[in-house]
Amino acid sequence: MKPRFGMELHQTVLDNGLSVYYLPNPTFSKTFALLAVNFGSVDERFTLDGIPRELPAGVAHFLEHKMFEDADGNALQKYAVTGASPNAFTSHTMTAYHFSCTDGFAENLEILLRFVFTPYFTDANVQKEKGIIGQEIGMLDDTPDWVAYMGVFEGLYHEHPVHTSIAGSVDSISGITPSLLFDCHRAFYHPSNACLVVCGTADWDELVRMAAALTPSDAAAPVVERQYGTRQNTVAHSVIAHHMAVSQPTFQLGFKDKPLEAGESRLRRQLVGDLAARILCGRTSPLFTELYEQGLVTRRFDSSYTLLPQGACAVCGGDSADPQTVRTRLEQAVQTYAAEGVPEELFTRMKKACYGLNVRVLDQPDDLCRSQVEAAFAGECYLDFAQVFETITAEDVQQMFVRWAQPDCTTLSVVWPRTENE
Amino acid sequence: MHNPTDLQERRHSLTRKNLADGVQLTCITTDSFHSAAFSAAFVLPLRAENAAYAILPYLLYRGTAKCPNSAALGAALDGLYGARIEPYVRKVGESLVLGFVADSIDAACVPDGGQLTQPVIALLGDLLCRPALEDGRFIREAFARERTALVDRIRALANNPRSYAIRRAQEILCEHEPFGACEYGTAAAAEALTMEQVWQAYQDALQHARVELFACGSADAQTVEAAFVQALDLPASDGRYIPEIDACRTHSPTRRVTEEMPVTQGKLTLGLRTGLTGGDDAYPALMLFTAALGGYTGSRLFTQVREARSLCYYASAYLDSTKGLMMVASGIDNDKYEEALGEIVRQMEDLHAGGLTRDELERARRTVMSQTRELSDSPLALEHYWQRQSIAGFCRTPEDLLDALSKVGRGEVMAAGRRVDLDLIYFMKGVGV
Repeated sequence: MKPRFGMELHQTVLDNGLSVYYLPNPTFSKTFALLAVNFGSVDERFTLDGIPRELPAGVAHFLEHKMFEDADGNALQKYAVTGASPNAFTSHTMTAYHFSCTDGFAENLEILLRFVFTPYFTDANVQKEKGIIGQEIGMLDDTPDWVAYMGVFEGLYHEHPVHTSIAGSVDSISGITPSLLFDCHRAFYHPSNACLVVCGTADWDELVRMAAALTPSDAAAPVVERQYGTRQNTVAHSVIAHHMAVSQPTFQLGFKDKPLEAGESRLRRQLVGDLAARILCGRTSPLFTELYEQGLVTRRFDSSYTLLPQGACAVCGGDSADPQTVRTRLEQAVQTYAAEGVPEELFTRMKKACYGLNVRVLDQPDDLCRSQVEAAFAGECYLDFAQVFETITAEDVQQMFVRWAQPDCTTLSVVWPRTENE
Repeated sequence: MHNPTDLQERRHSLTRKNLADGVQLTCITTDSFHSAAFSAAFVLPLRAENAAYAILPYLLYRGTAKCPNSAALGAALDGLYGARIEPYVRKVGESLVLGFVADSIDAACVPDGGQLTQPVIALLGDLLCRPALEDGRFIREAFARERTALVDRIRALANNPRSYAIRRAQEILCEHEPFGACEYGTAAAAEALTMEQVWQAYQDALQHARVELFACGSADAQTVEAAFVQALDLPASDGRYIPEIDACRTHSPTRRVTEEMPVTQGKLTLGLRTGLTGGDDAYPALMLFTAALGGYTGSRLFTQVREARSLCYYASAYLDSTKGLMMVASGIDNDKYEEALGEIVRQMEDLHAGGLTRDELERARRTVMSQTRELSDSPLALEHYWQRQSIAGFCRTPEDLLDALSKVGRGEVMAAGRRVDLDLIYFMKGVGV
């Protein structure tokens, strides 16, 4: 344990396999706890005890909704009594449950540890949830940014389950049964497939004691092998188009990258990816500035780098009257950086800026805990980012651009304004 | 680098000071963070049409005398460890706020011990007061581009049905008050803007706007004050704007308005007049009433309307502390309009007619107090909180608010609830996609 940025990371692995991390931050009034399960929307195909399973789209998200309910009531209502703010999310790669509180930490932690490891599904409560999630899907379908973002994954991947929406569709969730949920809970919600991160003020010994006492003691995890389909280097669709009630087109452009190699540091890849995305089209980059000044993009423009099991990509986009031209310009810039490398001045200042962004995450317990979970699932520690940054060179970034510059490696997903006759 | 675990050394102090007539600084000096936040803004009266003013922050962001274009500005920000400066337009009560908010790593976290507070504040001052010019006016190309961007920004407000429903409801609710105007102006007026009009608006802002300044970080108040004094270059003024608060005008009876949008889900939004603002003694009681009604997952709207009766996907209530409004926002199936409306109103009436239980009150109190304490965990949240306080002329610190919240009784909460008048029922009906 060594202090980094005045923060000392405490960590241990319990006998049942649960990883526990604590980042003390005594200057904060709130304490944040996040319990994440290594089970996301992409984990649709797997074998459980040797038997192949294929899930309909949206099961991980459905399970997230249902976990809050136990025989003795709903965890949200238990938190309503303690005054904590609970929430949960399902991403492509994880399901995470969290709360923040300014007092009564132990009481709130107990609620969290109990409900996540206690499955309680009945025909009635599963049926009712289909209505609620159906409405959530309806709301997502009305959100142009979400539709454009999901479209990029639909285009980039052939078989990888990331090409279907995280929440699934009304149709795909209609067949979900309590028995299916119990199986998924058994397969993925074992402590050895989960990680608890606490940031704020807690008693480390008490935290470990509670985590051990309140999570299942059975150390034997079920044997689960996950499959993500046959990987292809090229994209499935070069263009994905939707039409919605938007005032001007909104788009996302994806660059397909190769997945992590065995032994490769996830943290390092993520930092290099974020840096490359910022150099290419971050809001202080030469290209973004040009595109903005020429009226081709608006200030609503973002870029990010995403790592998946057996997949990786950079995604950038926003609003544009002419997404095709923006695509061409971005692809040209990637070709140039791949061939000529990144100018030293640009590399140095962007690296400095990325370092600053990571430092600021230390003040955001939710982002910090999530970043730590992602690192932890890969056996790493997020707080090492400063040391990793020191090792990143302009050549690392150029190598990444070389991969993004390969033929048939990009997908443009656009939400076009609906015309009168549609 | 500072050591946040060293309790002896930790500081937390608040300084509010008039740097000149109509120039107000709020400075929080604290060792709590790895990051720091700053803002600098012009505050002007909100008018029926605001486009000539709303374009200013974005146009000023196109370059300063020292960093004359976006590329130079971007390079400067990257050099300050990726400090972010965002132009913004905000509506606070009947006031229009135009300015920039910055966040950076805290000066104490700079690896080489370099300066950060002074350069970030200097950049804010340059953005506000020393724009890049061409023939004594804004750069023509930048002006044309930002005019288009403003039109796009106004048109894009309707893209997110959830937030647009609330915006539309407030426009209709306050159609005869300045608050009912769009802070960005209208698309038609934005399209027709001329350089001269915008230049005059800028001169007006420099001479007559109240100036709101904020800093939160490890730098002490004297350092921050000196940096802002050096950074700003404001002309002599014959009087700077004094913000107004107007929470009292009510309409009766309740109006019902339905509009159609090509989306799947309907949005049912209620606009209510409370007559209370953040400066009133009864405001903490109103905060607890609002929380019990729809402010968290234990609220009536969440447990009864959403969970027990499945009438909506989301339903929540929140307050505008400077306008004295309560808004109830929900997403519903179009055919559940009457049923959802009836249930929301029934819950509201039950709460203030005696149905608020002691348990319900204590849970709401814990939630609101927890949210209030969390304010102090984020420099950017503090910037938002203190800018509103300062513009509205409130002087309640988060600590004062916590103290007041801890003392409110059940009778006061119900009394605050009884003051709330339902003025508008706005339904954005989804007509399919």
